[in-house]
Parts: sequence; structure tokens; C-alpha cells
Amino acid sequence: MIAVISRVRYSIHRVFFSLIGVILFQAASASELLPPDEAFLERAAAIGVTQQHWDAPEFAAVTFPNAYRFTRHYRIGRGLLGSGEDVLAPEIWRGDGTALDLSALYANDADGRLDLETLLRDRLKNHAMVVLKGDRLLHQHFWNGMDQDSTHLDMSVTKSFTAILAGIAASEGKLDMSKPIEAYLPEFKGTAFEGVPVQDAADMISGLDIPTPPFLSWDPKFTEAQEWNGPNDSGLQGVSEYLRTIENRKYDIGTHYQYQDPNTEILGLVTEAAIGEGLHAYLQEKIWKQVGMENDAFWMADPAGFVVASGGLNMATRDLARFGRLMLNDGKNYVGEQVVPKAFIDGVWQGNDKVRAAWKLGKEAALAPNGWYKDQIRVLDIKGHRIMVFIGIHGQVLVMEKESGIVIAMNGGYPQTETHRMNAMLFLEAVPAILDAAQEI
Amino acid sequence: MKKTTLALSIASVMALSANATTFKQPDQEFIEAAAAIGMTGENWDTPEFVSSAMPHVYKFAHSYTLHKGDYVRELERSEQLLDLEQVMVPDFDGPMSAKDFLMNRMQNHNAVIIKDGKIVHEHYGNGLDEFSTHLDMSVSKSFTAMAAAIAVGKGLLEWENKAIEYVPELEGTAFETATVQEVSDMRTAVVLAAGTAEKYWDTRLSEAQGYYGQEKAEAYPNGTMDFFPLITERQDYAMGEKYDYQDVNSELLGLIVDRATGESFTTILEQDLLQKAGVAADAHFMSDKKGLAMGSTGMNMATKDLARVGLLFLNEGRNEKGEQVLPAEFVSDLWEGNDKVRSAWLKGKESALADGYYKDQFRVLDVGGYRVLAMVGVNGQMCAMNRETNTVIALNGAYPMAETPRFAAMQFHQFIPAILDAVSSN
Repeated sequence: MIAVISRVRYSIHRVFFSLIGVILFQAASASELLPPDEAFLERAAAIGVTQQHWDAPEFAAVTFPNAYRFTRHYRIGRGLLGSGEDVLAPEIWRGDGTALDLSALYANDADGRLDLETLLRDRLKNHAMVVLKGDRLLHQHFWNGMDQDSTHLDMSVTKSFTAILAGIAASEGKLDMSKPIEAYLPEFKGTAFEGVPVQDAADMISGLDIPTPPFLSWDPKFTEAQEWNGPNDSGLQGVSEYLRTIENRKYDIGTHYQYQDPNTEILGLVTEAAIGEGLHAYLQEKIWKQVGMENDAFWMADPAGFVVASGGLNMATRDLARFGRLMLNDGKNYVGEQVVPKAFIDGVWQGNDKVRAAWKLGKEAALAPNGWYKDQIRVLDIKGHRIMVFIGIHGQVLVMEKESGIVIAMNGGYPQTETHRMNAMLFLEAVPAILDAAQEI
Repeated sequence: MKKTTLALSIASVMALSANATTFKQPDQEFIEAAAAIGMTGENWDTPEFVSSAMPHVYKFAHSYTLHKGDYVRELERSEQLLDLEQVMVPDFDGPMSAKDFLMNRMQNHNAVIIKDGKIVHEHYGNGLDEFSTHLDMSVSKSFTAMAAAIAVGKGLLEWENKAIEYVPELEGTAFETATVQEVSDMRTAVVLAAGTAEKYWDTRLSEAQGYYGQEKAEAYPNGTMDFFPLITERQDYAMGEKYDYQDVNSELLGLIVDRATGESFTTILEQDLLQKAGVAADAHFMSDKKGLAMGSTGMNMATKDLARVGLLFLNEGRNEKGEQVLPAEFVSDLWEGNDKVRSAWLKGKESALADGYYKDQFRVLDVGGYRVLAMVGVNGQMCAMNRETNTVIALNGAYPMAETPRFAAMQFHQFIPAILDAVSSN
């Protein structure tokens, strides 16, 4: 009954904007693959930002709020009042977002103590942050010309969503995580994926052998196949074609944690095969319309129309925080409806011997020895905080602490990817300082 | 500088510390602290470390401390402050506040904006305050030229003399026939080793002078002096014909002043420029291990002090007390330009950016309807002066890539005109 009431309770301005949304975007439902935004590309090129280099270090600030426009993409609708469907209004948070004062918190860099606002803005190149404790908004800021409705490229935060969709499919009985990949994708027989249980791809313990250049966690052919940087001469049309070129394994299946994007992409492809529809449509139906999101999201896609499962989501930072709150509520939305299976979330929190052992052999163990990577989600133990985290390589972060009910959602544009330095500043300095302060409030 | 001279100047420093620069060794304590986060003398200018490094770069190298004097130019706050949250700057994805544009798009740390001698805006980010020094990168070049101009004013140096008259070691190099003026205007068009996307310049210079730490400099026992003889070829232009932005000219100009005055050009900067401009903090000018200061990139100073120096250019080279600090002719020649530098500009690659010229290590650009005289560093270090609006804009920042068209457009076509428009209508 409560759910019913909330689902019709919409403030006047939401109705107003939603109606505009219907008019402007009725042609852009999740099922339609949209092309790169040509008018936008022209404006970007005029200032020296090209489709080929939009994700270069110097352009992170200028392009990440608009990343999806550089590639094919889907619009992920939150549900529109007036469209005749059931819509859940966004949860109204308590507090005005001023309880946590970043300029009064401190963390360290090489040159000493800095206030967190400085550390985040100048050193970590953060663009936006939302901190929740329960249903109370402790802090939010939106820099870089953004406002609370601006979407931002979430990079590898996307991976966790892909795995959660797989988890939903499994709970619906459509997907068996213990089956080998070729059970769903017979065309992968004879590749390095043959014999890899779907769960091991989700846990990044498939043992693939993929040579990567410095500062990249992927093979350049991978992004070429996705046309992440526009048309190219790789001859690969979509990530599936690239994945079929991966022939070798470096380690035995199920032994070593290696952070490799192809695991996420194959997990996404397997899930699509299992559910019989696109991941983008599944995200819209199973999550985006069930949480009470404030803004539509965008999911970047490859030439074959398959989403960039390992890094293509663009969403507003407040919506990322809303999702974190749902994860801390055992997968239920704020009106008590189960959105993400509780068993899936419990499985991540608990980990298992296999993922714990695999983590110890991976390079991230140096940063957080007592952690694991399960279902595209990290569980870390840092300075007395046990946290679940979704992480993107440029400082996109969703941190959830079960005990305290604290959620930290961040978006940023750190210019160098895959560095120990960023992870250390974020997870050993900024995050614990915010958690400590938020616990006291 | 010869070792004996260096020893002498160190000795004199001990006797009269307020009246001369101090030569310092790299700061081992800082180097160790930096190593703990993976930052070294070699990688500090890579995208991920550059903002953390900027306040401290001189600690990786040898450096001269340029002491502040007794006179500090007080800067009153204007009653009509500029609110950067309200000033809008156009970017390709829409207009945004000048504050966000600076902080996020330009990755700026500090800004000091002065109109009619009064502060209309100042901010200090990245853990800095109004007295904190910040690496000024190529803004340093303009300081090297100011040292030269003061030496000319003292009758110790002639612009039209050949550089080789001061530096006989130039025999057999590409600079053999260049005048001091041509070196100062970067009209020598020599052939350098090709750079890369990240480092567009000839990095042998950086290594020789210790810009990338002492280890890299080991291959060059005489420091920067070992670099000049490597440059023996010129491009297919007559001497003086083409403007080509090459650091080696600024290094050579510094050396020329050293030879003409018999001491490091940083002494002139300390005594005759900074102390008379009324700086409030000591500055640090990086040097090679032999004591030749890095004329193309060595200055580390407070942003507010940079703005204080900028004010001289709006007052014909005089300070607030009316003392002639920079020769009036030097300042007026900069504002006016001449046929040689205008013609040379058109042959260089920056002419695509704007109408203007490069003279004496300064740029003069016509942007957004304003004539702007500017000292410019690659990461967003800048001191821009405009006479019509009587405005100085001093910036320091850490844009992660050097010499990109995007940054040049942001700085000169988007940011400066928006600020000058705002101060005009304020």
C-alpha cells in the first residue's frame, strides 16, 4: 500500500519536467540505438576535442559530463509520469546537504595536510560528490559546470551494474552462473573463454592472457571494436568480434584475480543471451524504473548495438547514490520492493575462499590486503571500515558502508588511469576521512 | 658561472643575506617525501603528479632564493569585486561560471585580478595561499628578458650586439650570427631534436640543466653549457626572419646576461626587479648544478607577486612610488611591437591562434577585441596585462598537457575576454 502511494506522489515540478521529457524524448526509448551526436561532435571539434581523442587526459573535465554523445548510446528511462506507466518518485532525503563540511576535514598528500575540498578538487580532479547517511543528505557538490541533474561518465562503475543484472537474471532462473560460457555463447568454443564458468568471468578469475600497454587495462583493439573513439580500420564490428580473438589463458581458471574488461563484456553477452533482450532494456526495466531515479541515464554502445558493459554508463551522481542506498537496504528500494536479489548482495558481502585466495595473487592486494573482488564489486577493509565499492578508473566511485548506512558517490576526471597514486589518495585518504566524519554526524 | 665566482657569491651571501640571492641544493627531505607517493624529479610533470608538484618543483633542483625586500606593494581590495560564480565563460557544451571554468576546465590553482591598482578577485587553491610559490614554467622567460632589459638600462648589455660577443663558446653553433635581440625575440629558428606529444621540446636541455632531477643531469657534467654546442643547424630561414618558440633562446639569453653583468641574472631579478616591484614573498629560481639559472622555466613565485610585477607594465615600467624599475623604452617597445616581430610571427605556428607578435619573451595578442601583453606558461601560468581596462590577470595552474590548441583557446579566446568584459562592465 505504501508503495502505491509513493508511486503516485510526484511533486509539481517533477510532473512539469517529466512532461517536457515525454515531448522531447519520446522517440528515444531504451530500445533504440542512438548515433553519436553529430552537432555536439562538431562543437567539440571546434575547440580541439575530437572523437578520436575525447577521453585523453586533458579532456576528462570537458568530455566526461557528455561522454555518451561521442559514441552510439541508449537512453535509459527512469519512467515518466503521464506516460501511463507506474512511476516511483525519487525518495525525498532529509537534510540540506551541509552537515559535512569538506573544508573542515583533512587528508594527506606528499606535501602535507590538505583540506578535503582541495584534495578532491585540485589533486583528485573530482567533479561531483554526494554523501548520504541513511535517508539523510550530508553533503553534495557539483563542480565543472555541472548541476545535480548532470550525468557523468561512470567508466568501470558500469561493471558492477552489469553483474547485478546478471544476478537478477540468475534469480529469475534465466541464467545459471555455474555453467560454462559456451553453454550460452556456442561461438566462443575454441577461444580462451571455453570452459570458464560464468561466475568466474564475473569474479575476474578466468585467467585470460591479454597483453596491455602501460596505463591501460585493456587491449587497444578492444576499444576499436567498440568504436569508443569513433570509426577505425580495425575491421572489428563490435566487442563480440574482438572477444573471439582472445585465444589464450595465462592462469588456471578460478585461481588468479586479474582485472580485465573482457570478463565483463562476456558476462554481459552471456546475460543478454540468457534473458533474450538487450542489457540496456533490462537495466531500464529491472533497475532504472524501480529505484526512484531522478534522471535518465545513458549507456554507450558498440557498432553491433551491444552496450559497453565494462564502462559505458553515464548517470547523475545523485542517482548513483540512490542506488548505493538500495544496495545497503538489502536490495530493496525505499518503499520496500526487492529490486536486487538479497542473496546476490549477501554473496558479495560474504565473499568466499576462492575469490579471497585469487585476490591475494592480484596486484590490488597491496592496497587493501583484506579484500576481494566478487561479481564485479570490490569489498575492502580500510582503516577500520568494511566497504563495498564500485570503482571507475578516473575517480568515479560508489562506496557503501553497511554498518553506518553511509553512501559516498563520486564522479571525477583524474587524468591518468590505473595508477596506485589515485587509488591511494581516494581509498586510503579521502574515503576514510569522509566515513569517519560522517559516522560522527 | 665559474666555480670560483659561485664560491664567492655564496661567501657574500653569508655576509649579506638580504642583499643577494642564496644558492641552494636540491631538498632531499622533500624528494624523499615525494618518492613515497611515487613522484620523482623525473616524473613530476606527468598528468597525475603535476598539481601536487607545482608548489614544490624547485626542491627537485638547485635553485637561487630571490629574497623579498623591505618594501611590499600593498594591494587594496576594490569595492567592486568580481564574482567569478556570476561571470559566465562560454565552453563548447554551454556557458559555465568562470569559477568552474578555471578550477575544472583549466585546472587552475590561483588567480589574482587587479583593476585600476585594486584587487577585484583573488583565490588560492591546491593548498596554497597568497605567499605560496608556484612553478611559473615559461612565464620565467619573460623574467629572463626583464633581467636583460635592466642590464641594457644599466649600460652593461646591448640588444644589437652579437650574442657571441658575450658567449664566445657559441662559435660553431647555430647561434653564431644571432644578435641578442634576435635571441630575445626567438627569431633564431634553430634545429632541435624532435619532441613528443607530451614533451614538445628538446628534452636534452631539460636533462642537462637538471629539470628532471640530478640523475638525468649526470650525463652533462657542465650542466646547460653542455647543451648549447649540440645545436649546430638552423632552419631554412634567414637569421631574424622567423619566430619559432624554442626554449634554448631563453637559456642563452640568461647566460648572456650572466656574462654581461658578471653574476647570475637572478641577482638583477632580486635586487632590481622583485624588491622594487614590492613582492611579499621570497621567490625561487631553478638552476643547473653549475649556477646557470634556468632562463626558460626556472621561476617559482607567489601568484600575487606575479601580479605585482604585471602592474609595472601598466605604469610605463615604474612602480607605485614612481621609481623606474624597467626601462620605459623596453615597456613601450613591447606594447608597440615592430615590423620585424610582426613579420616573424606570421611565419610561426602561433599565428593561427591570434594576431600578434612575440617580442622579448612576451606575447602580445589581439583577442576578443582586446590587446593583451602576456607572460605565458604551458600549464596555465600566466600574467596578462591590458591597458584599455587597466587590468592585470595573474594565474597559476596545472593543466596536464603542454601546448595544446584546446588550452590556448580556453586561455586566450574564452577566459581572458570574458574577464576583461566583466571588469569593463563591473
